[in-house]
Amino acid sequence: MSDALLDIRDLHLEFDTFDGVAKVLAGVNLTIERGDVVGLVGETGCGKSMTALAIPRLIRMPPGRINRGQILFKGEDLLQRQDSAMQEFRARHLGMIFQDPATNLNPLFTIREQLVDAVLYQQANTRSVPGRWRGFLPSARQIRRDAQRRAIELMGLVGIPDGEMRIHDYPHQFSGGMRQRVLIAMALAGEPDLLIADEPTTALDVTIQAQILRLIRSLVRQLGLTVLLITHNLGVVANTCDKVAVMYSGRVIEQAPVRDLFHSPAHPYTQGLIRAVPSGSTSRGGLQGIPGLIPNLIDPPEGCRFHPRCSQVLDHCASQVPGPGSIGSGHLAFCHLYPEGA
Amino acid sequence: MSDVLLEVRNLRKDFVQRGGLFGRQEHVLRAVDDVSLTVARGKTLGLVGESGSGKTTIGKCILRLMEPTAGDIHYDGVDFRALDARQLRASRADMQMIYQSPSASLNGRMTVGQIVGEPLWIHEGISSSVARNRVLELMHVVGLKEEHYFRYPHEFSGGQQQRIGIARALAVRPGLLILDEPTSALDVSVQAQILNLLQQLQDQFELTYLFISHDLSVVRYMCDEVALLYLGKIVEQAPVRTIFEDSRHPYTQALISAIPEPEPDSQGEQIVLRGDPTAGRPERGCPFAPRCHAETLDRCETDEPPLVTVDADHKVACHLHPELT
Repeated sequence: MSDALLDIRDLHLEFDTFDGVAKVLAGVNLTIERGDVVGLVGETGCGKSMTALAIPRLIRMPPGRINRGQILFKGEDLLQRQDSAMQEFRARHLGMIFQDPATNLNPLFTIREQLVDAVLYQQANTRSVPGRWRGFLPSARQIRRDAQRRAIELMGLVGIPDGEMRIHDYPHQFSGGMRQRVLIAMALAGEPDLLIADEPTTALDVTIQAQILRLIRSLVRQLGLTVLLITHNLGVVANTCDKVAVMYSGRVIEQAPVRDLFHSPAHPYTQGLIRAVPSGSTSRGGLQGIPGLIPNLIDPPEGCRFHPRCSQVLDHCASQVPGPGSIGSGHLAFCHLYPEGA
Repeated sequence: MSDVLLEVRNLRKDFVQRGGLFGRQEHVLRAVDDVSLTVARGKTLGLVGESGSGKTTIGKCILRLMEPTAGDIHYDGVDFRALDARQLRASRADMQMIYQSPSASLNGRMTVGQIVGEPLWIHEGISSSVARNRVLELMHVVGLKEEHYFRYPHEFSGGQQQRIGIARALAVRPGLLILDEPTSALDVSVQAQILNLLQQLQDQFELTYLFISHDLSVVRYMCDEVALLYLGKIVEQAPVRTIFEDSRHPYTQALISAIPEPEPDSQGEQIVLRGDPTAGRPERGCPFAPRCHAETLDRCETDEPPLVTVDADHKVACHLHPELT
């Protein structure tokens, strides 16, 4: 329990829209232990990116509103922090990378300017020097020089060859995979405890995806990082993560160690999701989708949000939200087939 | 009626990039280089490659949405490149394309009925009001409901939009469908629905597919034969089973090992290639040589390997496999 780096409890997030209130997150529970790579999987619109953005409080409020829940980081509720203290949290404890490496770099500045900025920014937010020592501080030039050295070091860490040369290049001179490495370097500038990677390989080719995933794994070993890896690709999860949480329509519906999830998925939605991926043994016509569509978030189904599409639906699925049912060690399913506390 | 529906021979497509002062420097980018393919009637040929491998360009050249620089395209025995504009339009009804992004390929100002009915008007001169029954029948075939007729594309989910695109393509009773990454933008549960629909339509209407994709697990499920492209060249071509069980080209092997399987223990030794294809082709030698993980021979740096037949219907372009030359 004390080992949890991040513990999200019953998080509810709503957005005011012209059509009504969209209940985007409706009770997310997620525990991330130190040193783990946790995969957060789900389909479009299930709230996985919203969960990721809610952790560092990057959701604009209003129109967003968090009306219930806690986000405990090392036991402290981030939702209670002052805005200025949040800035410090983002600089010191968190790194984030996103799906599209091209749009996250400014095309008008060299990698040096952007990476040095990231290094300086995290220093500014972590260093506190009493006023009377100001005169002894290194000069601005010295600080920039140190920051550049650190930037080159970071480039080496993420596997960009010839950092001293390439740091002067512009983003368009880098390939997609290399740009993603630059962004990982930026995210690592503050030596974060937690790295949130939101679909980091979705825009990349498979051979490049393999390189980036391997890099993330090696950084976990090398730096003792904890990673929240958000993806819609079950294959990526199976090969990269230690634990997995599956989301459906604003809730985590199953959380388990990676082997348990793929070998004995408990929730009917997880089972359907795994069956929908073509594997070597799928015969022609043998692929099964999940019937129906994802629910509307403004007027979601009562009870379990999956019940209208579920093949094993029970009477009370339509009225009661299922609580966590324990299936094995570390394996929880939020489904009435697995009663709470059983 | 021959067995081969589409035959592409020595297809080449160059793009001229201009640079320098007043665009006086020319640089020729060869996007497709000497590609030959045959697609048998009623079968599915998969074209697989990473971004920039030329797979979409091949699809567009076959439809002559883009003029190839060189090469022959024979469709059902007809020399497609010799057709004039009018004949081309008539023949195009036989080949239809389905695109990756369903929302971008549908006109947002037209209703579903108009979108699906438009090809009937263009190719057969039937106005959409008269064609209503045909359109409704097509919508039924792809799993859309009658009440969707007057709706606009933005009212549909991605999967439903892709169904609209498929109905539009089927309107003119094509023989060949060029499917350009038809499910890449969709979620897995929806992808499964669309893939099953495509297989069912293939059986129902005896369609032939050219299936362009970068996703090998989808290709394994959908295709009878696979051609792998690397920087515009075919590096290996074989029946799908052979590709997955007995691939010879180091690139194919690396791609297959890089498929993230949804199975935590299944992964054998994964081959992680160095570098990326955007570095471009080396001036001489094998285009894949700079990234190759297999033992490289001196020849790899100097001679380009030809595509040779190593087994009945298995072709490989690699110096490590000089069999049957």
